Amino acid sequence: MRIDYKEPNLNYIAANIDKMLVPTLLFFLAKKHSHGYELIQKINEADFCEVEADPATIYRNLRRMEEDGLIISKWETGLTGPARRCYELTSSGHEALNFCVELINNKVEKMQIFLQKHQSSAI
Amino acid sequence: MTQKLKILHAGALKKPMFQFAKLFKNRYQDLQIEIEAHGSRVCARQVKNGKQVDIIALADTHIFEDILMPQYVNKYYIFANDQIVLAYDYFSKNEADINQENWLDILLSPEVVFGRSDEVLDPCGCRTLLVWQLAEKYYQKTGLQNKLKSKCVDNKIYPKSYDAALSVSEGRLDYAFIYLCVANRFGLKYITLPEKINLSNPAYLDYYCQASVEVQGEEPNEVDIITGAPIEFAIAVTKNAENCEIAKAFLELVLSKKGQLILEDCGLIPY
Repeated sequence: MRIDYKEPNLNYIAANIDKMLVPTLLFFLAKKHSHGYELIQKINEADFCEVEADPATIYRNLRRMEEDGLIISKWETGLTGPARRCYELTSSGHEALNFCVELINNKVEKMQIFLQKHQSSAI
Repeated sequence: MTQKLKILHAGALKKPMFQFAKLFKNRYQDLQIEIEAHGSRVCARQVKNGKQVDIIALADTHIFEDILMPQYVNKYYIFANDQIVLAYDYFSKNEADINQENWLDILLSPEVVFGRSDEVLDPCGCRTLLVWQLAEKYYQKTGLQNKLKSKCVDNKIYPKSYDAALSVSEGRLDYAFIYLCVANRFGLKYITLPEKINLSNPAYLDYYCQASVEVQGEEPNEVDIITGAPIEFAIAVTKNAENCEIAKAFLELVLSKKGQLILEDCGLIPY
């Protein structure tokens, strides 16, 4: 059964939870603020995201998450050298990460019930 | 006195820079904007040789480090990403048959003419040579890069990727290795190359690093080794900007949310 949430950003997260991209971005940004380049490399190394981390997909999602108020971005500049747009989690972003954990837990529970039933019927 | 803003940029950024200038002109109606485009290395060398500009936007962040930092630019903003594609037109030979599986065979067939930009003048040329090296490794075809090099010589090598794209659209070339944003600018068709060779994705940095190209350095007899890396565009206000405040406002426009939409509309991936 599909649940409709009041907040559009939660609906978006719930609809795309299987791909694990938004939870993964929220997870890494909760640990440390990062720029897109670094996030792409981290996602590629992580073994829990179903989406191929191509730059177009990642930057589009980051922009959407910023529009939804889950993250904020600012240019990370020193006095000299290169500057990159850096992303940081907001309090709504932390709440969204907790929401993702809840959704994933529910899914894991259901999958475990399925596996148990399958196992017991096979005996 | 009329205020002036001088912008020097990589040819690949022609479309977005023109659009930014147009938008900026609406905001500062008395401002006179001068825009000039060359290969990125040529742009940087011109500034090094004393050319006065307020804004410089290049297709390679390493050129800022190699030529412009710290004498001519204090800091630069890395604002977009792109990839190398194989562009062609409706009148290119074998255009109806070419695809991601057979593009190499088609390029190497005797009747087909393809081009690229010059690695000394333009990072796109250098990146094309890196793509060929990576393709040899990826497809496990020994000698591939030399075959491609020997077929693409003399008048098939252009000062900038923009010129190579123009040659495709005018029928002098069947195919050219150019940036995706340039292919979009000319409305060309294109083959997307595998991510492991198209220099688009930071996730494949280690793979890209396996390729390198030697280009003539800034001093006579100096050789620079350029290693494979994701394609990124960067912009800066120069240290000798005559109109620093206006230049900063232009930079802010490029880096703004509105700027992101313009860049995306021009086929780039904005940061």
